[in-house]
Amino acid sequence: MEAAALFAVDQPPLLVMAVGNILRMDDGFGDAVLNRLVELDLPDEVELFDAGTSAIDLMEVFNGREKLIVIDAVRGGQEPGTLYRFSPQEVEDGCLPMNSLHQVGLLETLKLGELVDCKPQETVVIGCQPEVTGLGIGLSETVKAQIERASELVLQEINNYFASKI
Amino acid sequence: MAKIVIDPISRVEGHMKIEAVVENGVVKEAKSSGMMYRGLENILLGRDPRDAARIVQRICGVCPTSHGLAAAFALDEAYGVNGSITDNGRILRNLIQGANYVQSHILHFYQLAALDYVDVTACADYKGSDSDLKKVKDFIARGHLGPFVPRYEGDYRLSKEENLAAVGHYVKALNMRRLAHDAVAVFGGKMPHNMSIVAGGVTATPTIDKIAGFIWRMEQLIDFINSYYLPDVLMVANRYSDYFGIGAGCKQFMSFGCFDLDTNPDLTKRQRWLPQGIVSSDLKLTRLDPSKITEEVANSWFKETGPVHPYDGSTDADREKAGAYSWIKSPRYGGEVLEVGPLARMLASYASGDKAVQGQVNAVLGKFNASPSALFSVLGRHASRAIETKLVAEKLKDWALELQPGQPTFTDFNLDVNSRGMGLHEAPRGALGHWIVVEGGKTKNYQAVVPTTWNAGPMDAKGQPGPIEQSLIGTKVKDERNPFELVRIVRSYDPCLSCAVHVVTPKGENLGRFIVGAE
Repeated sequence: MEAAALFAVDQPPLLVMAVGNILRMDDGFGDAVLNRLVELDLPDEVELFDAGTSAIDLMEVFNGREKLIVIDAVRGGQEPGTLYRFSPQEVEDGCLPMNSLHQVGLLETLKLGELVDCKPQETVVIGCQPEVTGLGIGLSETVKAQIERASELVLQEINNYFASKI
Repeated sequence: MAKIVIDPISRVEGHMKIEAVVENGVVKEAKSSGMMYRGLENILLGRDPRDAARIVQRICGVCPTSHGLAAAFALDEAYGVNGSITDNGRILRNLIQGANYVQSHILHFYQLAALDYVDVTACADYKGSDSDLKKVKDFIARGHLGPFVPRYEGDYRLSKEENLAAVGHYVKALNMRRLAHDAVAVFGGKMPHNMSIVAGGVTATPTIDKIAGFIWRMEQLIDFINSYYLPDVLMVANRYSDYFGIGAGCKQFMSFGCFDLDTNPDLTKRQRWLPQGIVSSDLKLTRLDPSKITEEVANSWFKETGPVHPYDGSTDADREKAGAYSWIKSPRYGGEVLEVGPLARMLASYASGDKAVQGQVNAVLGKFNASPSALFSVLGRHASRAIETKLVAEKLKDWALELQPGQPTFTDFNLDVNSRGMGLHEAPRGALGHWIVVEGGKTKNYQAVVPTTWNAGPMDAKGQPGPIEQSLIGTKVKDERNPFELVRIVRSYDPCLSCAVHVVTPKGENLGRFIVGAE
């Protein structure tokens, strides 16, 4: 059977995906931003998804999306709380948020997805430099203070998507 | 004398390091080290015990389903409902876990292990019309080698045609893994980190639509397993048949058993489709006695405790401990070293007299004129995993038909308990045990002993190396710069360090040019 026939695609075109391990303090940044976004009244075309730590499983989740917005803690060598915005194409292999607990990481999953026509048309990462990633639940004050601003950055990306449709 | 250090081992989940001392081309000593700290049990202390079935799924993204189930089994006992899980609840748990086995094993063979045997670069000058192979060719042409390197060079033995076929199947397997993942989600609800497995049963309800959707997916998967997965394992076995004699290990095995057929409150007596027990090197099966399980930390970076049962275990780090070389503990059974995983499960079924397993295993051995002891090997582990995938997928179809729409899936219980619970289960990569102590309705202690701890743990106080270490010791290494033998051995265990241990040293890159101004 052809691959396309195996998978029914009927889902919102824009996916906002929080990646990270909520048991590792600031690695729960994506989840915290997602919880902020849940409070807003977003259009039906937007889906919010708590992806956790399982990158390879996400192939199914981002399949068929026009735009993917990833929110994650990113180690980019800057001060804790620094916010980043980049696309996977803009960074070299290995400097994406590959501190996920997996060898099959987010970037690899996006690449493998290409092999099976399972890649979003556009991907952007909104990241925050973590302060503490020890074991525990809850964010540091520095990272917590960026939730609002990061949520605005995600909303900007959502607006850009709708603007491009007009 | 040369020392080979492989750090990290690529295409295993998590950060693992192997140090092998080679003398005259043979491994004399081997050290398997988990390079990440694990102390996640401490997070559960003082919480509502029911949180465990959610939180343990966040331990990692590879076996969240299995951790969720092991926690649910432990909680069943703690809340006193371990004898009263409904048929629907029992079957749904089997279906969710079984579909997860299928996706995990397909992923392991094609995406993680096959690249040790299949030469992907065979596609570089592909001129045919297969769209999957053309995509891989384009991938390579664009320099996108990410998933395929780093790798060792010099021992790829498949013919050009076999390599091309295998790469095509690599791509096909990506789709099949997706389909299996879909099947897990039919009754698991949201994936990853499913929401439906709870103490007392499952919250998902079976409907005719869901049952039909599940069975349809299994039929596609069974077709793939029979037409591609099993033949590809045999093709690799044919070209690399010396690997039936490489990587034997400790030759003693343990399975906690999986796929409940009744709800006997005693997990060691519960009838499980894959039986529980200890298997000796002469294939004798003896009953499992969980009180014999201890964990030692003689060579681990934890405060010395001596051998302790998981109910009494602790997780206190001591990074300065002299002689220690791993964040993994050393689990033992009555002081013995045991291997866990699909090979252990298939041997337990074989030794228990299971005709389906005996038939499949004997057919593979017959093709290679091999005795059952050839199963204690790299190829024995891959073959066992493939056979298990086939038998599980077929069984899941039957079980799905036993579901009864409209009947309960969950048994309620009293939360205010002072008790203990043991959750014995089998993750795709081996025996998984969770132990919980509940006091005044809160979690007082929690310990998880995970499959890779059994397989990849360090030497114990008596000087017995762990199973992977034993597999490596005595192995001939043809080319010390390309130690194929060692990575093939390690990978055959499907190690997953993510839950055996956790990250300490991040690798950071400067992403200064992507800063978004804080307004």
